[in-house]
Amino acid sequence: MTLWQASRVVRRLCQGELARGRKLLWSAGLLGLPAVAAILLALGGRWGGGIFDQLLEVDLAFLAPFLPATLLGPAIAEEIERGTAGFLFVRPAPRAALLLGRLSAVLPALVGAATLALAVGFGALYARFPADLPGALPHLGAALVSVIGALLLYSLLSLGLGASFSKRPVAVLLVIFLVDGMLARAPVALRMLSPAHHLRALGGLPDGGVALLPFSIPVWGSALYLILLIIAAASFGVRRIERIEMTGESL
Amino acid sequence: MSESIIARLSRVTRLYGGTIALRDVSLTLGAGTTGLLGPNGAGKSTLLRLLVGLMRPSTGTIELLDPRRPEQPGRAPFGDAPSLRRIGYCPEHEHAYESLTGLEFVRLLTELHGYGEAEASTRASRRLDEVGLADAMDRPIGSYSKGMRQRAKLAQALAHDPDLLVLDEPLTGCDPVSRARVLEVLRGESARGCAIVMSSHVLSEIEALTSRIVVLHRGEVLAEGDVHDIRALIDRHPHQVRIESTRPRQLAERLASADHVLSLRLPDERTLVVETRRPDALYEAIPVIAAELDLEIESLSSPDDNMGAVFRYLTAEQRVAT
Repeated sequence: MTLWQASRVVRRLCQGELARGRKLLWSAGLLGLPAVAAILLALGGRWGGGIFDQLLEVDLAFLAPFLPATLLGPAIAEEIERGTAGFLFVRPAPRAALLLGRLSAVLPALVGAATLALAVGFGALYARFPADLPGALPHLGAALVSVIGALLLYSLLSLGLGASFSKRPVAVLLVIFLVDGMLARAPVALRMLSPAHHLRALGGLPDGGVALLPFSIPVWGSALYLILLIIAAASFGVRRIERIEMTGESL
Repeated sequence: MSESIIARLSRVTRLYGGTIALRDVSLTLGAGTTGLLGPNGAGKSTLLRLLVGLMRPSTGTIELLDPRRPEQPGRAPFGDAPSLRRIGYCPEHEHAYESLTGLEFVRLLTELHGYGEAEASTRASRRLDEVGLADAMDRPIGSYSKGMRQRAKLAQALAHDPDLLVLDEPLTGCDPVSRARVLEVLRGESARGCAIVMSSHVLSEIEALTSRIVVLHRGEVLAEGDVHDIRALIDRHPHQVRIESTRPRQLAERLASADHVLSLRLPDERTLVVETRRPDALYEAIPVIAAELDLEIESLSSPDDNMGAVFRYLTAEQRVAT
């Protein structure tokens, strides 16, 4: 049985649970808030790309780390603690399917909601200047890429960290926020390590803190760095899950 | 023990931090049913989790063998897909995916054995029918009683026709009807050649399926084999024999001088309970004394003939030794 086939089965196993708890619905709703804010601001007479960038900051700084951490951070540990992971681990399917299945149950909904919200917000903020819209579309594309990348990265980090530390998402959130927050406030060279910094660069958001650098990192450099981080986060999660033993105790 | 060995544990120890859950356990398991007995905390669940590859031993080895391919070496089950294909596991806990129906639950888990949706659905329906959940298979598991959950868990363990079925306290919470159904299914599986390892701390549950037992206590194998073999192992320990007689007091006076008798009790005016190290000597002496005293022996029974007494003896022995 391939990883892909097994992941589809795991997705179906956990989708019902997510739907019943309405967690996914609430999370998608939260991702829609920037669109609501954009519409209200547009109705209030405030328009333009600057406001869109602020809404993108909200997505990148808060929603993209927070929602995957709450949805996926406790997922694996809860399955271990309840014992339901044992039903999967005694089967000849790749254990990583638990990770990929959970991811595929959650990520499409989050990505869909974030894409829709950004597109609607973008449309609302540019509605008064339709002539500027075609020229601004690449910025919308960059924003979408950065938010989708952020959701993917933080989802994988949440799954991997959640399977390692605690059933509660608090630990996952703390790790993500502390590491990223510390790096974001760190001296310039260290700030280059912060995923948030590169996500913002990918989304075309300015970062005044690195303006003094004698060199600039191109957008493709940020993209490459983020891809490497995503691969590292996925590898960490897979390695962790392959080593988990069902001792009957929590992690 | 059967000649066709399915699993072999060699000097297996498992630690949880500084706590020893299993200590130096060596066992072979073959076709048929093996009962794993022991009180809570004896290490039964740990042993079963090791056997199905949910954990790795801290030291020692666990090998699953395929009797149809004796030339192949044994394989450690942890993370080993070929071994896991042959295992069916019914865990002790009640949790399942509550929002799924019984049929979805069993079908999806069967799909993880590589079956397509249609084949998995057919297998799931058949097994749910066998365990008596045909009428409830389209209801969410969240609405199931404890006994129904046990049967749904059993169905998911059976749906892929495993060679080795590992059941952790499968009758816990079952009502008499569920219990009878589960036992019937297990007898059927045993008859088709499936090796079954079933744990319980209730001896009558094991007794209903098999006389082949492994007794665990504080992480160690206390005894292994047929219940009667185990009796032989404990022959040096006191056996109780209950004698109902018209004059038990006189009988007690005569037996008091026998060197194999350890204690005598008169729980009521017609009963004498003798504790002896050599029950054969006692059984020989009683008719002789009865004839000499001209008293009538109304009944003679040994409470030790059930597995509960064997278990009590063995665990008592362990306590004394430690």
